[in-house]
Amino acid sequence: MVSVSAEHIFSVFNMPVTNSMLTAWMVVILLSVVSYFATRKMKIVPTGMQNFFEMAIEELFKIVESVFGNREQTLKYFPFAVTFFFFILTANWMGLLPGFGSIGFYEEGVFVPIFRSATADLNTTLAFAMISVIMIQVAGIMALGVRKYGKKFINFSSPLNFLVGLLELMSEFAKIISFSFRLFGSVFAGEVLLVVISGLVPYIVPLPFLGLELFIGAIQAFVFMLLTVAFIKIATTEMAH
Amino acid sequence: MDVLQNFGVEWPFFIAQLVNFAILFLVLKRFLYKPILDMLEKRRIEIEEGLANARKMAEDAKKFDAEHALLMQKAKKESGEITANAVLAGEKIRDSILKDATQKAKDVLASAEVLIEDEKKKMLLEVKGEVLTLATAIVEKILNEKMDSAHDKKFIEGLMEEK
Repeated sequence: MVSVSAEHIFSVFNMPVTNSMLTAWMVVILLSVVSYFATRKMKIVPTGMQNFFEMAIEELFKIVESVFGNREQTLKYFPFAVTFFFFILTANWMGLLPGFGSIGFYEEGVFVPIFRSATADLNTTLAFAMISVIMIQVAGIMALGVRKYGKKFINFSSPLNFLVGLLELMSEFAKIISFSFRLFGSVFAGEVLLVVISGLVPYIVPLPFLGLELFIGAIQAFVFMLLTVAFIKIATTEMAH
Repeated sequence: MDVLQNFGVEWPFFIAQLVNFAILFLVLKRFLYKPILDMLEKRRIEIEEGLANARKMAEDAKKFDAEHALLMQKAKKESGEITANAVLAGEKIRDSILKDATQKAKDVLASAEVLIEDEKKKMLLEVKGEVLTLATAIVEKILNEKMDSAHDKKFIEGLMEEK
């Protein structure tokens, strides 16, 4: 049975560590090392990893720029948004590697896997959602100022505007929930699906589902990045009256 | 909050993931986004400069071509003028040489004629003298035998005067 929450596997200085936290660290270390080596010797004519990452960054930059519509804002928020993409993509795909969810030990008769995809833990997705939503508010305040940005939510100019403001305020909290549960839900559901299919027919048949999960993993990472960018764009744009 | 607990949300893990994201953000910004965006920008500038240089070079080449053509035209014109002048000068020189030569030839011819006239006169004079002595000798030879010398003398002198 797959547990909805991440399992404790060991403790460091009395701090419990969960299997999804372990993989989150692995993702951070992997991406750090790869990016360090990819850009260690930058050449004007790129080769190998530098070439690959240049292409990826350039394409992502173009997409983010197409949402913002200007280069200045893109340069400002691009690193932030794309970090979501790389983190989530790597975590999602790492969760599909053999051994994830299958290597583990029994504790009091319950199977505890050592590795669990970092995004299949609500702690991770909720943290990402909080970061994204807080950043959206910060971007809005930086672009418009506290008064103007606050007017979107608290507006006494008319009863209708007051109600609209309340709805806007609620929608900001709804963003946290939709961001976190969308990602958590799709990744967790994918894992459950793979476990069920593998349990029914262990050979060949799970392969198309693995492919599907690769696709969903990429889509979810992309969606998270693009939604963050779109919300920042909306928050930094002055309301038309 | 019960819902969150059911999903295993615990603040230490939540905060740990916040920290993870912050670390990854800083690392990627330093080692991935900045160098690559800088490089893309650098390459863009370099390509733009290269294109501008190429355009400038093409323009320069065009300008040089035009200048070259102009220069060639000028040189052609100048060389034509020089040739024309030379031909003119040559003709002048030829004319003057021809004139001189004609004059000289005329002079030579004139002096030669004078010389020939003189010679002719001289020769005529000489021939006259010769003929006279020869005639005298012949006449003497003939008359010596038939006439006496006194008669002769008168006759001869008479002949001589007649002449």
